[in-house]
Amino acid sequence: MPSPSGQHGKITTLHIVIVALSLTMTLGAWLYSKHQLDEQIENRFVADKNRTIGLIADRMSRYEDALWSGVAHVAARQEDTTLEDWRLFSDTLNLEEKYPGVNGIGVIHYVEREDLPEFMALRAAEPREFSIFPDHEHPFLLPITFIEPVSMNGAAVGLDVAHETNRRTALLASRDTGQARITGPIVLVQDSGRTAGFLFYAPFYTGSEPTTLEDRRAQFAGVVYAPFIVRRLVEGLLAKDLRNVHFSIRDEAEVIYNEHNPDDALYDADPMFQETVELDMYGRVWTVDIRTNLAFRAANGSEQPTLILAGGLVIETLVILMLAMLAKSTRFAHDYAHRLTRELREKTEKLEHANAEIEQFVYIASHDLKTPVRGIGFLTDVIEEDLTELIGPLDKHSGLKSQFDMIRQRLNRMNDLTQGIMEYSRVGHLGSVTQTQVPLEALLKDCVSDFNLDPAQVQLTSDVDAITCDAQSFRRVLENLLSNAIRYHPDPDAAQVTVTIHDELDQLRVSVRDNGKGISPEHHEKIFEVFQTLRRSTDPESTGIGLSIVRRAVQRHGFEIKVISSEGNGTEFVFQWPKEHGQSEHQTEKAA
Amino acid sequence: MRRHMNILLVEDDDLDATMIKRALKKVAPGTVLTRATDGIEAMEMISSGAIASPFFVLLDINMPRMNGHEFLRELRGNSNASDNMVFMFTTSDSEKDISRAYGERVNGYIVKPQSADSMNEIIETLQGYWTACEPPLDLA
Repeated sequence: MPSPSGQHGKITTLHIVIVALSLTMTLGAWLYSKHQLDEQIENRFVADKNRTIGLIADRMSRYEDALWSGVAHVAARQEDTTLEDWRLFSDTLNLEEKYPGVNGIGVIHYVEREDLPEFMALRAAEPREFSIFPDHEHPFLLPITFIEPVSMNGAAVGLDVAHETNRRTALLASRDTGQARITGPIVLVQDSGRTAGFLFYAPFYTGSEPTTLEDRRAQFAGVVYAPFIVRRLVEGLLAKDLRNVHFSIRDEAEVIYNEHNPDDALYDADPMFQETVELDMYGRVWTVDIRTNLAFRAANGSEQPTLILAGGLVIETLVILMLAMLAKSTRFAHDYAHRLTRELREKTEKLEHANAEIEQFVYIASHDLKTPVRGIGFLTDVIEEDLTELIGPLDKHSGLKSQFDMIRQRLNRMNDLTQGIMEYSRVGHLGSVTQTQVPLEALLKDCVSDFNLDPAQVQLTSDVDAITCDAQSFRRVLENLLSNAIRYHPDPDAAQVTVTIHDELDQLRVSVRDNGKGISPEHHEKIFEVFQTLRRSTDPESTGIGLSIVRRAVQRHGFEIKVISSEGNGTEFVFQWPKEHGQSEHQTEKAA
Repeated sequence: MRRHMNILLVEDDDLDATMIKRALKKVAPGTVLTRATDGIEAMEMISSGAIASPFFVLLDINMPRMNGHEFLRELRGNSNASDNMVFMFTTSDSEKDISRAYGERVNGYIVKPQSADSMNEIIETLQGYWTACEPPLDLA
């Protein structure tokens, strides 16, 4: 027998597999959803980034268009371009509305030093004060001739951009390429905030469109330009608060624009995504550093995978708990059953022991009773003999004779009772089952002679020739049933008993039927009880123990005996008997 | 000519002893009867030579000190009188006692009768047996 806490109570391999599988599924679901989400978020970032970059590039190209339209305007008039013309042109551009972020639009003329007087003469004709500043050593001048709106850019009018390398270099590059060009970072004179800015140039030439560098240098007349304050340019692009990404722009070593400000409410010290993009920007390379901000984190910091993981782990814990509880309760049930079985076995053993003791006691008591009874019987015989010697044959003294007979009758009854009790206690012992085969014919012949019957009074029909199992008890059963059938028959000489034995696989079905007066159904149970007799005072004496012995013998093999009878119709007793030795114990166990 | 029986009765019950004596007197008057009340006394009698061989032993089972089975085992085991015939003479008709007695090589198992007449028949049978059978040679 395995120990009570054996395999039944343990966490089995199956349990571990279940837990491992569900854990794997949880982790898998978590990783998958996390991967999906990460991809989604990254896509969002890429979209945000591309939009931002696109906006910058798009905006710049629109400004470029504006410059080129300015170029077209100036190229058509050349030297004749007037302040008024430019103002009108500038108004038509509607800068404030259509080009937010642009600070203004102006014209810078290329003036050789020898042509300066002529240039200044043209300016003097205009209704304004005009002077060129600051002074420098270069052989040419690059004064800002017109800039609109003047209200915002007045400080720049007359500024000679040749004085400063950054402005001059980009402008000459624009001249040499014929392309729009921007300057490196500068501080605009009109920017009181003194933040980073740049100028955006588009060149115009005299005569027909030059195709070579020499032609361009020879025909160069000036540029249309627009000054930008980077801060305002970006504000014009897209309101920072509406974006999920912040960016900074660097031109070489100089940061010209920066939204990465730790004091910003949306600043994310540890951005979810960060990327640096190099933009070719009209002769310069802008390095755009794009980082996600807290708004991005809030919009994309989905807890879904974490929720899936947490939920999965909770379920996991529940599964483990459940399995543990299951194992525990199984173990408990097993222990409980084990304990109960043990208690039951102990109780049964005690009971069996007590039963055996009682039976032993009954046997010894009844056995010991036999000795004095036999003594009394002997003494009665002795007294009768001695009396006969003294007074002659007792037949002459009918009173004495009948008194002796009465003593003997009672002694016989006493003997019958003790014998019956002994037999009753004896049939309870399974240990004494013998394996002797008893032929049925011989058994019935014995009974016929024991009860002084005519052999024709007992009919036997049997599928088997002999009783193999516990034949001793079978004999007792048959004796008792036959003796009852004869004894209680109204006319014993007319009594007929039919014994039928059917072979039913592993057992015998025995029927003992008589033609007596029958037993009323209300007594069918009572007749099997110890010391019960249905005898009336006129009937032969009976101990009332015979049928108890019969039932006990049958029950001992795990079978039952039943009576089929009604008053006036004879009585049939039907019971099973084990066919072979060994089955009886099996049957008993089954019946137990 | 009938030879007289020589009987060792091992019986603790006086009434049973009396009934046997009475039956002997009636059926086999010449019988020599020696009585012991239990196994130990009987063994002492045999070993002291108080009883001449050959003899029958009529042996009760339920006795104080040494019961019938114990006496029989001892007699068959080491006594020089082990060849003598022993008949259980007892109230017990239990299979256990019967098979045990034969296992100890008893010569007969007699259940004590219920009446004087039956007792007489038994004594007569024993007498017939005594007369008919030759006793063991070394005991004669």
